[in-house]
Amino acid sequence: MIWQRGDVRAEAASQAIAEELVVHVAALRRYALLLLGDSSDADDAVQETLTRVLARAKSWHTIGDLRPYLFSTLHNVFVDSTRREKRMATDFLSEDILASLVTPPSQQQRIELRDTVMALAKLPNEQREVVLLVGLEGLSYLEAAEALGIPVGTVMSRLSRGREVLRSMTSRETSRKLRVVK
Amino acid sequence: MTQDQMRVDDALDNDRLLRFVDGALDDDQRVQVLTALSSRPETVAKVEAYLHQNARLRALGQHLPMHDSRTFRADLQGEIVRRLAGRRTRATAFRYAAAAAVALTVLAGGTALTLDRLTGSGTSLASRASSAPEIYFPFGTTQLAASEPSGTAAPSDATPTDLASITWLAGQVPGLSLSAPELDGIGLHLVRGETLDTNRAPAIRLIYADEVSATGRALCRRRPLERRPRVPSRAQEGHLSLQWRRRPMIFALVAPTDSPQLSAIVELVGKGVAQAQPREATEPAPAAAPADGGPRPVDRRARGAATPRAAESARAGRGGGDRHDHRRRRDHATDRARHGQGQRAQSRCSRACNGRS
Repeated sequence: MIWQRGDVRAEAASQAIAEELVVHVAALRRYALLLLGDSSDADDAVQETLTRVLARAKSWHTIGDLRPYLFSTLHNVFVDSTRREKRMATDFLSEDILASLVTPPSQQQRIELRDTVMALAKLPNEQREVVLLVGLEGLSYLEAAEALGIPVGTVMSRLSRGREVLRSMTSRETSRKLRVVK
Repeated sequence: MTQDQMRVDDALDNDRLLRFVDGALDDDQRVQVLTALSSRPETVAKVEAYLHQNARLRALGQHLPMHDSRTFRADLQGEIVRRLAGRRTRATAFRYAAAAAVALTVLAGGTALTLDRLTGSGTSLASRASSAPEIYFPFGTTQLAASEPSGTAAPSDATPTDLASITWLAGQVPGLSLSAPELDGIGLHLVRGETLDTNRAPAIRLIYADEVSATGRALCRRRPLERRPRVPSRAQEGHLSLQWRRRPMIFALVAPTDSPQLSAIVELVGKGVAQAQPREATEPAPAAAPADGGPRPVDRRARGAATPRAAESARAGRGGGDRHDHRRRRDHATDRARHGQGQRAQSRCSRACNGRS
């Protein structure tokens, strides 16, 4: 019997890992989906992330805050996969994300969400990461910096640039819509 | 520049605005920013846009299907255990597989299986322990035969084909090198194999038995065209469900969590899965008939379609019929772009694909 043979500390650590991970899996998947733009790739990235984290479970006690640590691992997985597969901008499947929305939003809301996804798709990866971590996941600048392995100042400059790009895109969309109305 | 203007500029520097938007300022600083904003309408528009962006992102996050994906959970379970088993020594893999089992059992079934149940403190342990380990490989069983409530598929031909079924399946998948999991070392012997001629994808089932003739089943199927095959993650109480996705195949394992051979099973099956390497397929191989005269599958490739679904789509004159075709179209476009045909080729491809659909 595996649990009877294993030591008590390992068992307790495993249970703690399980409970902690369950809390964060949804956020990881959400973030990965919007980062990668492909549900299959996102699931693969989360699987790899959790595998890496579980594989390092021996040093679990050294991990101060699990949440940034998980996002950090996911970031590394993302960087590895991007490097390996030479991911192209066309790989971001905005339609895939929009098609997977569970609660059918109102028409107006759906248009807004579509614009947001399309704008996110056009952001460079490093800016998209920061915008998602701070804007979507609500990480503090320090946590985001920790997750991405960059200084807080870099987080803020990327965030600023990313938000400006998003703003210019959405304002362009709005003006285009206004012209159509005329 | 007046002192007031300098004060306003300081209050509205970019970093401070970002912190204001993200709620990272204390009350005094917020008041300073709000006061300064009252004299800068253009900055107010910027701040409003940023706040709106955050609200949109949060709304997007709320509408994404992150909490109810059984396929993901099953995949996660299998992937983690497989990778852990591959990375660690047997003893270490055993411990981490157990950790993953706990983590993913919670994922797969919420709180249905508690640690107490895993340890078998209840009476069900005695009955489970008395029976020999049972192994299932329920590869995509609901797609094989939806009529079977238990999730196991009925073979189209009951004739045992032993290892010929593996040969048959390998013939169905061009370039696939496939072998049965070597479980003899832990007392589980392959009794026979069956081919499952389904209307979705070719599949086989292998029957294993131990010394006391307790049987186990192995099923293996080709991955369907859909990117996320709906493979059931159900496992009876006290069992761990594992899956391996290895293109173009799907493998899975359901094993009792109280089996003393759990790690060995995971390790051996993982090795078997690792051997299922598709080689570079140049040309589709013709469908091979089983050596013992088992069922000859329909040669769908002759009609230019890899699966009945694709054949049906082709007959209907459409590109695929569901949103998953988007990826194939994209791959097509991407490949052309990589071959130096540039954006024009991509848009031509896109138009062609759109035209087909």
